[in-house]
Amino acid sequence: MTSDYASIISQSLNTLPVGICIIRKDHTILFWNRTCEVWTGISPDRAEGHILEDIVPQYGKQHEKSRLDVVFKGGGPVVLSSRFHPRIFPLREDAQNEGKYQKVTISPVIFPGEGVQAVITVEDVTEVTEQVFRYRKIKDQVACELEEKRLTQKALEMALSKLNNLSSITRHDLVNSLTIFEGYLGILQDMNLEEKIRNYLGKMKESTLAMKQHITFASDYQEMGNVAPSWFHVESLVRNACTGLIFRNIVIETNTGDLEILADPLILKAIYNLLENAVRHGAHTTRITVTSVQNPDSVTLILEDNGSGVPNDIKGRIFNKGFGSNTGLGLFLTREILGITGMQIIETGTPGRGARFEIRIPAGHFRYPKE
Amino acid sequence: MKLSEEVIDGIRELITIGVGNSAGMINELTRAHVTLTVPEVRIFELTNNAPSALDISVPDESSQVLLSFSGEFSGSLSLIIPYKSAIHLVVLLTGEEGSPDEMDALRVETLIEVGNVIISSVMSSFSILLKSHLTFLYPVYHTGKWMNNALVENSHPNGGILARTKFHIQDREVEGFLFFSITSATLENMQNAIIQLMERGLYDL
Repeated sequence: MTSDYASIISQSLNTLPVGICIIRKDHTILFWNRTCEVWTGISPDRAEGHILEDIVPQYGKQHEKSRLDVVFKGGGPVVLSSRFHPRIFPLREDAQNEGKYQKVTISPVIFPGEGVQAVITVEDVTEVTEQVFRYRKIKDQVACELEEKRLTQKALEMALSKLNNLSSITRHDLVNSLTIFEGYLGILQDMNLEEKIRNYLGKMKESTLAMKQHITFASDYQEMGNVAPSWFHVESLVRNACTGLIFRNIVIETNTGDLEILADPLILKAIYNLLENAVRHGAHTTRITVTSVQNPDSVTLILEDNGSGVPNDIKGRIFNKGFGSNTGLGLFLTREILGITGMQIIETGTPGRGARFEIRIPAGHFRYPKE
Repeated sequence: MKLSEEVIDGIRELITIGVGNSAGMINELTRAHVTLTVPEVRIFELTNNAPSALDISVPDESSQVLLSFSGEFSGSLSLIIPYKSAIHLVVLLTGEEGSPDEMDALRVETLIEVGNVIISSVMSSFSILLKSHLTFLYPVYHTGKWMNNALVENSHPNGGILARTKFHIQDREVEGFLFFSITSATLENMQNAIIQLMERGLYDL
């Protein structure tokens, strides 16, 4: 190698951001680059010409020595990872964090006339190593949190299951007791009793019916949100909801096309409540229409009847719990069921001309599958 | 090319010597009590059907540490371990806690060193045999289809030596493969060198 060429190589090696140390087969240091000097505080003058183990004591240890010998015996390059050899090249005394973790590779190279030599390359992998440790810590924390959440969810599911079971058993027992009570009331009502007592018995029977309806409501309310929402075809919903003698003289027209809505499975009950209300409270309802209007970011489902309508002074209260001539729970439950999937309901009809319920369905909760 | 049983035995012994030497270094490195065995060595022509014909199932999703060499002889030597087993091996060797599920940068570096120890040791056995100077690239880490990785790294290999390798650590076992991908010229030279060596005796190694 000409001295010019050697000088160019030397200059290039001195500009690299990795430590380069070249040694002979007898471990004499031939070259010690600038980065090695910066990291260790040992100048090339002090290193070159000396035995590697005197300058880098780690190479005096059995394992590192034998790995170095593998290179000279023709075994190919050697890698010394930061995991098993965190720091081989010693750092200068006032070193901060650089070179804290090092990755060292040793490669054989033949210089003409010089025989086999080894090029030791030292890479500072501190930043990468610390990032990996941080990443592992975060990953472990996330795994822990997920496991905690999973356990909490499991506990909550178990608690909910117990509560549901308790409620079901209690309701079942209550309904049984009420049925027996109703039975005895019926027997009493059939007796020849004075009118005042028969009136009281009638009121007791109404109370019993109301209690049963409250129990049914409690059961429905308990079911709300327990099952994941699913997609319902509106026309099919309306068709399924308007079964029963109450609708036998009512014309129900649906014109919503392929519209499907994402709703709690109790949506059937909600639609039934609205249709039943139209008949029960509409006084002279003979026709109910169900249509839809598409808006830029929503769809409005409209249920309209030709009954007596809702008086203006109570429009704001008809969805409140307990309001109304029956149990006062129907429209409240309807609003709650719709609310599970973000739907909102208002009444916009004209008193005397019929009730009109508008259900606003937000984007993502409606679709037209055939489009 | 067809090799005689004696030559195949010789190759098997060289690999076993190389792997055996590396076990000592790995024990020093990791302070884990590791035993390495090579229960099986097969030699075959390199075709696309080779692995299935050998009835060897190395999952495509494997970790591979590969060392390529060139010069008078060319080819590559790689250590191939199924991906999940590779993670398991690194965890056993480093005493890491928990049940990690990925080869991050540090684990890759660790596997490269372990693979490098074994590969270098085996290469030392064969280079003494081949008595030839070889140029090496740095060992590299790959995942995915190990056969494709080996073929991409080499030019025109047409022979292969596959050695099943077992790591026994703390009552656990991890299995991998050493795969030599070489040209038929290299294989022929190996054969000639082994025959001469056997005439002299393997004790000269």
